[in-house]
Amino acid sequence: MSPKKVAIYGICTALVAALTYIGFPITPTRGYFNFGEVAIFFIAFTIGWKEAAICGAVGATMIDLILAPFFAPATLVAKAIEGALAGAIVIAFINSKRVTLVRTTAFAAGGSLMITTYFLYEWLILPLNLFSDPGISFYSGIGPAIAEFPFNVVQAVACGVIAIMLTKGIERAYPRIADLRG
Amino acid sequence: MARTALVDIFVPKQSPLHRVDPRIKIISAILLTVLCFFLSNLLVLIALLLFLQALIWSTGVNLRTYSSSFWLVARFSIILMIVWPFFDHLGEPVLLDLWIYKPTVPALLRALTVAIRIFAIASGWLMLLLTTKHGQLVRGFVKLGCPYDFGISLSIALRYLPNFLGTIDQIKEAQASRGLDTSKGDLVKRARNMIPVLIPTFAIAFRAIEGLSEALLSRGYGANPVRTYYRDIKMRASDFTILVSLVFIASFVVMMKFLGGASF
Amino acid sequence: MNQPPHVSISGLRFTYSDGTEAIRGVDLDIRHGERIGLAGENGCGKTTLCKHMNGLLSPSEGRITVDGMDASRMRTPEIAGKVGYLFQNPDHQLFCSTVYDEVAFGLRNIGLDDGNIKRRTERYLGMLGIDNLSSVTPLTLSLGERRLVTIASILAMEQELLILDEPVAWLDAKQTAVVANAIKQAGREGRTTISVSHNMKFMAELTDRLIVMSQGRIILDGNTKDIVSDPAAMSRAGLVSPPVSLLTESIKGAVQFTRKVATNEDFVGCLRDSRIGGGAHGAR
Repeated sequence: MSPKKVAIYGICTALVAALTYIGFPITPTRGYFNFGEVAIFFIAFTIGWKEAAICGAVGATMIDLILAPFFAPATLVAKAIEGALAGAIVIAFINSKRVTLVRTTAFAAGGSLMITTYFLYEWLILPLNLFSDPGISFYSGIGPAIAEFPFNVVQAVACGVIAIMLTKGIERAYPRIADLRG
Repeated sequence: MARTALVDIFVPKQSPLHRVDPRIKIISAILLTVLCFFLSNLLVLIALLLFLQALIWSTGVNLRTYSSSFWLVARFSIILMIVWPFFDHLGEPVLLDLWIYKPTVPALLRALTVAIRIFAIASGWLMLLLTTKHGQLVRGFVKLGCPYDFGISLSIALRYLPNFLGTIDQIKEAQASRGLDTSKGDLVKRARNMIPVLIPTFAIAFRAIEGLSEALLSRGYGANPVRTYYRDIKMRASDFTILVSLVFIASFVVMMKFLGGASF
Repeated sequence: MNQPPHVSISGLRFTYSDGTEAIRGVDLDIRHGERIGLAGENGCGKTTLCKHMNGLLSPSEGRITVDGMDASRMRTPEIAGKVGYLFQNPDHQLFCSTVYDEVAFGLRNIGLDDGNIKRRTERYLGMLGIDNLSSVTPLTLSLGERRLVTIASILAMEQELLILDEPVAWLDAKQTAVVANAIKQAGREGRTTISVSHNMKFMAELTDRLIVMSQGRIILDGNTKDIVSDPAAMSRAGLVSPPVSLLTESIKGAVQFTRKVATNEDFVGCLRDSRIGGGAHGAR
């Protein structure tokens, strides 16, 4: 890997982790609303799908291990596929003039995968009660999964919109960003 | 300042835990996490947590640094316990009856179990971070099979994470002094107000990327596919012992749960 | 002139959340229109003290009022129209696509209408010599130019109290002169300025009152020229006099100085007074 790529992976992971960290607790089960997605979508829009997937997964999981450890396995998978799909869509339509539309589709698709992953995890996997926790039924199962759902949607949409504004702003304020792709 | 508590907490002292091979500490943290998921007896969990805290204390950790990390995790657990009775009303005796907020003793005990479990898991990882320098941590991951490039990227990420957190705070202050309000207003306004904070953050990150790649290049990165190491890590007999005992205990617990339905 | 002080601090103590005691008892009154210099070694508490004046920090003990209002109860964005704070690192602020927008940002936040925004932006860009950069992207400029943009964006807000953290750091000679003039102009327009700097030459030329801190306390507070030209006081304070004062000290035996020398003007004036090299035709 070239030094530039190594630096990109390292710094982007730190960015995702930093933005994931500055969240605040809202939902009792999942734990918190965070801006990590903004970084993941941004990386998907401007750098690449691999970087978005890996930096997103590692960065977010790092923080989840300490703050919301039960969801760490879900986070690892959810953010990886979210970043990968969003990044792939952007690359597929890289020559399109309708940049905002492409990016919106990208974050909507990626976000949906993320929400679905968490939903399935809470509904089906946690209740398997691999952990024989008597309290398990109160933060897993269809009830909490449905309760979680709107928060996750709000988070994905808010972060997606911010990411789009952010990308436009950065492209205007710091044109050299185009060098980072490829 | 408290922001950076969680990720820059290496304690530069010498203790038995500091000397344990980083690979063992990484594996221990993982095993501990898995183990905690399987433990559901409150007393066992509390005992485990106390044991882990005692281990952490034995490393000679600085109370100030540690308490910032400690309270970060504690805050999350406390919120969990407070909000729990909104969702779990089962059991007797009922302590309060306020429409949808009905704390009962069994429910609170369930909440406490989850909270203690989170704490125990976090303690395992905290122990890793407290006693392992970044360089050693990365070396541990690399020797466990991660590609060297991954190791360097991880090391960069760990090193820059506290920087970015501090920078974000400074940017918030600077923009607030220009009249930017990030904590008032409806959701839309608050989202928009994050942009003047995020753009400088990302711009600084990109400057860091450019600077880093030049620094790496000028130090011969990538010149030779096979790399030698200045300070290598070697497993010692005591490390093996720890590893074997841990695997043994973990397997024992898991087996007892699945076979005997033991009440761990 | 019996106005109440612009800033009034009494019994201020501040301890950071990790236990460091940054301010250990400060009492200070600053009058309207004063040009204050704040100096001291790194870690002495000067930045911490300044951050109390615009609401970024709240005292652990003691009181601080700005214009009669309790500053610890004010939130920084709300007080931004009255207290301006120039931060050292321009990269913590620049985010717009043009220099013009960057300066206009703060003005919009304090509620100015478009006409006034245009007027002020053009005025201050001109004052700092960067009006030719008005439509350039700030983040592509050199470090010195980026600093000029942030200085313009704070000065344009025309707050009554202006706190400047190392205003001339990283600037070349020409840029330094331009900024010094802009700060002098702010003083002429009646604004209270507090400049935090290690640059004693700058302090001597642009401030009237020098406050020196050490380990969370004020150890010196007096007329800038008096302090700066007194080598004993400076060494007690751990500071270095401006070059011209050092020169004065070293040739004190050979030349008689009729007044304190803190700036180049003082030096030249003294030479004229002592009639070196020319006698009577040294004009006053």
